[in-house]
Amino acid sequence: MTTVRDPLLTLTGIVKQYPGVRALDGVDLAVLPGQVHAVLGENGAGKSTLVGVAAGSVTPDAGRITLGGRDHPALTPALARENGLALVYQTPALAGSLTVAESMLVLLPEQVRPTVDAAAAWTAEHLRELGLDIGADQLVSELTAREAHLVEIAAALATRPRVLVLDEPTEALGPDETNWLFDRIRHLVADGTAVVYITHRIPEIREIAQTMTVLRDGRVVGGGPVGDHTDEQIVEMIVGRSLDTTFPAKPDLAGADVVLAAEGLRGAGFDELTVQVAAGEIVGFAGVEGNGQRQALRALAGLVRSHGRVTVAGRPVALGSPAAAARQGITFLSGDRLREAVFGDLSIRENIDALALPRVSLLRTLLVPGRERALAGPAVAALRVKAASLETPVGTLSGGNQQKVLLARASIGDPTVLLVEDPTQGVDAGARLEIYRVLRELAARGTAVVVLSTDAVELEGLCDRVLVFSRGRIHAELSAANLSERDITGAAVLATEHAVAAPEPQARPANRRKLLGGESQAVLMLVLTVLLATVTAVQAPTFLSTLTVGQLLLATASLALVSLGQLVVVMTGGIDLSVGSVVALSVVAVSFFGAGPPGYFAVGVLVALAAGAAVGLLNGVLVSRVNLPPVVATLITSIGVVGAAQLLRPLPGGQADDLLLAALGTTVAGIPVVFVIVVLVGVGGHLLLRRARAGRALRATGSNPVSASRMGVAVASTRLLAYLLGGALAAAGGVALYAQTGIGDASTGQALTLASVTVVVLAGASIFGGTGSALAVLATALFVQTITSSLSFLSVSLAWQYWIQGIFVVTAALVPLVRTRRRRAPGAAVSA
Amino acid sequence: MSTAVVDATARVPLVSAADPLRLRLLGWPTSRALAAVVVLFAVSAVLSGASVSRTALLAMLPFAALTAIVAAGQTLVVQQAGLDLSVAGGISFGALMVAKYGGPGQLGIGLAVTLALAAALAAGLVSGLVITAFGLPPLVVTIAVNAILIGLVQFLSGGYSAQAPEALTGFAVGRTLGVPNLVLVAAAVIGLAQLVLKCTVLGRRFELVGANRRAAHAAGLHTRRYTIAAYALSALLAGGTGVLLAGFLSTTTLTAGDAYLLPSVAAVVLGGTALTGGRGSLTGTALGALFLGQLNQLVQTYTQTTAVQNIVQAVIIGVGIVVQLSIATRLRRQAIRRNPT
Repeated sequence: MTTVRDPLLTLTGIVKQYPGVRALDGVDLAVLPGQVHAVLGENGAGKSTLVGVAAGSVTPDAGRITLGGRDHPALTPALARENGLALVYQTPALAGSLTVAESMLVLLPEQVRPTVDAAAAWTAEHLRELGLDIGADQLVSELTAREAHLVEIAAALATRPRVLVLDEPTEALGPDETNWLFDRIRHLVADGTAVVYITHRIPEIREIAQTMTVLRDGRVVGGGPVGDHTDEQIVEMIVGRSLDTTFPAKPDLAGADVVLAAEGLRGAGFDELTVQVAAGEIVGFAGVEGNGQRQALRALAGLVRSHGRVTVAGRPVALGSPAAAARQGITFLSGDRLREAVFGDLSIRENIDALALPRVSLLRTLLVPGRERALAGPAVAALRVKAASLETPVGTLSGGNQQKVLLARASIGDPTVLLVEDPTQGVDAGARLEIYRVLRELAARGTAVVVLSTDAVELEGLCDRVLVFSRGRIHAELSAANLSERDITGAAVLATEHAVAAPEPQARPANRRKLLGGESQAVLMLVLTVLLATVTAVQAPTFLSTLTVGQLLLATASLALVSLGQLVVVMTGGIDLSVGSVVALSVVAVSFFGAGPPGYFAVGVLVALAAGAAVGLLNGVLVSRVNLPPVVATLITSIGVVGAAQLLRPLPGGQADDLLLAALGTTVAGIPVVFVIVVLVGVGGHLLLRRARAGRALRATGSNPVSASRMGVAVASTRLLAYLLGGALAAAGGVALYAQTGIGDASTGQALTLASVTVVVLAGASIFGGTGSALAVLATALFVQTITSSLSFLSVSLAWQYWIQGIFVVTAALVPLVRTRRRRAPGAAVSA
Repeated sequence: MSTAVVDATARVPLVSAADPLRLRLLGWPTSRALAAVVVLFAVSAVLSGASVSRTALLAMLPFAALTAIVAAGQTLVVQQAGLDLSVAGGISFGALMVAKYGGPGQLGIGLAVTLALAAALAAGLVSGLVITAFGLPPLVVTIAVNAILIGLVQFLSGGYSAQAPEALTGFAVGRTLGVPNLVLVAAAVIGLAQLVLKCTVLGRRFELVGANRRAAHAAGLHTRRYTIAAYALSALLAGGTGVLLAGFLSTTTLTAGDAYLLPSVAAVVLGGTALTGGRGSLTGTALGALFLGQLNQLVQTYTQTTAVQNIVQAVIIGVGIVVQLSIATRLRRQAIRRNPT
């Protein structure tokens, strides 16, 4: 560099403490314009936490962040973006229920964001310019992991960032795409952008980076110009000592018996896998992510469906069942420790003897505490687990100690086969040594060990043999002389070259959303309503009289409003069980204003709406700030609110005067004005959900709160707002109910809670959050109300009303699940 | 650089077999529920002596016992990280079955009770099967099953409540050695369930599945069986509560169970079982039910208005749950700090 330029991004003395581990400990980083700055480190060295700090999604406990020439004491993802920082996460952080174009709208800062109407065309053009073949109106959930990654990169590039942070971007990409990305990076750097490039692959930094910083256990251990260091020096900085002292010695395995044998094993993502592992051998599974090695390992563990033949010590293993695998002595340790391996809230003791319970009990039934301690104590000591006591919850331990507890659990079971996924993910360097030692000791006791790792250095040091996967098949087998980090990475990358040339294995699902403008559910409900009304009218012609239809529509009005409120909450992934009580409160509140001039009644409506919004606000605070589960929070407020309604009107009263009732019942061409207003509210809601920023925030939050937050959506506030709006809409439903009944009765409304959930689910909204249509809710409310009315016309027992609702809820909830399963079933090669 | 080189093994502190007594007491959910109960009774005695009189206690205990029985089932479901909203329908259904068909002129008490319990069990099995087979949220499924049970109540009753047979009424309001029979039933249910849960291999596996379903599955446990069993037992206990309730009240309304939904959940949370599943305490739940019963009693000495009772209950339950949750969070933080690094 001939001139000294000011860094665009500076991190000074960053500290971040997590339960049991100091992820970052005084990290400094200064990124200059026009440079690619590589940040290197093993899994768990703190790279991703550092990325999070720079992007504002992780708040450091101490330290200074300077971005765009200003200090940012409280950086948020949105603020970071406004200051010219763009970030691409290692795993795509996109909400599945948004389209690609909508994701762009959420991700892009205001300066470059297209208008809602232009978004699809703009996105299509942008993707075309970048040479990416991805549809702008495709749902993110329909993209492959690779496509989602490319969309994120495209969004980051569109912001014309001054600082671009890429977190292990090539993990999910093939060589062609990697070259494409490197070209883009070179262009950016030439224009003066600073690029932070996170990786643990040395060949990549040689190709693209000028400067580097090496992290180990949350500390900076070295760095400087890339050209000043040899590969060996860089590896030594990353690992912290020479490789010889890190890994245990490898034994001579000549003549060892084969223990695990798979023959022609095939399943989703892998094919024709034939592998033999001998007693005492450690075999590594390697390859570029998404080439089937993970699924193959999981198939051996019985966790994914597969066909073929697997034997353990000559005995066949029934495939597709972890229990069957366990019976033959196969133990699997998942890389997703928190979600799939440890019992976080339970103690170390309970975690360790989880699989050996009959051994610590009397008659294999009654647990004996003394025996439990006698089994767990020595196992903990042997693995040097650091914890306060055997009763400490495992979830409070650091990643390394959790992994040791899991290895202790595995080792007391004397497994015949041990399958380990990412053994040192999120583990500090000290614990790493222990883990390598224990794996080798287990092997020495005769266990056949299979290790899957993304870290080629680790595979080189630990394994006797490494199988490199490509496109679901074993592409290369490396052992002894040709087993090195360079060979593993080389074989993996070389192999993938072929993969990219081949067409994508996944057939793209037909775009059903296009059908009827994406409102097929609404149309279906209207058709069903007409059918049902026709059938009923044939039996009882008065069903279609003006009076009956008017009453039906008036009743629909309140149900539709309450259901719209429920929809807003359900879309954030929550539920509001207090809507029935809010309706009661609203009916009672407005009934105090029922005997005056219209203006007086209008005040009553406002009071009722305010009361509903207040209850919604309380729900929102309990859910989003106090972190109560939505069910519990709204159940509690439900009881309190109905109490308040009863207090206001212990007995029904507040009869609306005739003039008011007549005014509320005004019809235009037989259609009540109240109903027309509700339809307008529904259409407004539809526009809000589909086109407004708030609607996208709502859907993103419900789809995946973590992704939404990374995308820059204020998740907690969005939830709060949803409950508030839900409460207000439920109160509006109460007003509509009063317009229908004309009396203030605190005991009304409770049935609307169940009915609103029925309507929302039946309208095709996902009960897991993220999707839903206001128009479909309107149509479904009409349908459900028509059922209720027609039942009484057909003089069927009231019981049917409940049964139909109950059956409809479950059926409607099942339909999308079954559909998704069927869609995913045939040969999905790339898993999310 | 320090010159003191320490042997690697010597640096590692010994992991002690158990925590200090103070921590064990604090961390034990039952002790927290017990403290709440003691405080509430002390407050009751100060505020209104009448609310802790023998008469008052004998009036309150049967209701607390009923809450405890239905909440025991709810605890099992919550331990499986679920929630059973069909307990209301289960209670109403159980109550109607014995009241309508339990008389000597009809099926007789034995057959009516058996039928009520069997049908409730079947409803629970349906919930559990649908939830585990399709991965549907427990909330939606149990709301639906609740609707089906209420529909059944409507269908069988034709909208009219009925009178419970005298044999049942006699047992439900009776006492043995001065203790209300309902309390004895509740104690037996809670005691047995707690024993199985805490002292057997079966109970431990049940907790493992609840604590982390995916981890239990990966480790080779048959996770579905445990979850289905939880819903089946919850429905069975709700049906049983309905039977006893009908006997105790002699005439029941068709919506008798609705009043027990919130208390069943509240007792579980107050008793220290985490709503996220896993470790649970049935004795804690029983104490939670006792707390709710006495709270009701205390409020009743001030006002007979159900409206006020509802509001006060909602507020105190809300506060209790928030306190219980925040203690759990604080204990967790402490545990993290206590680990050596």
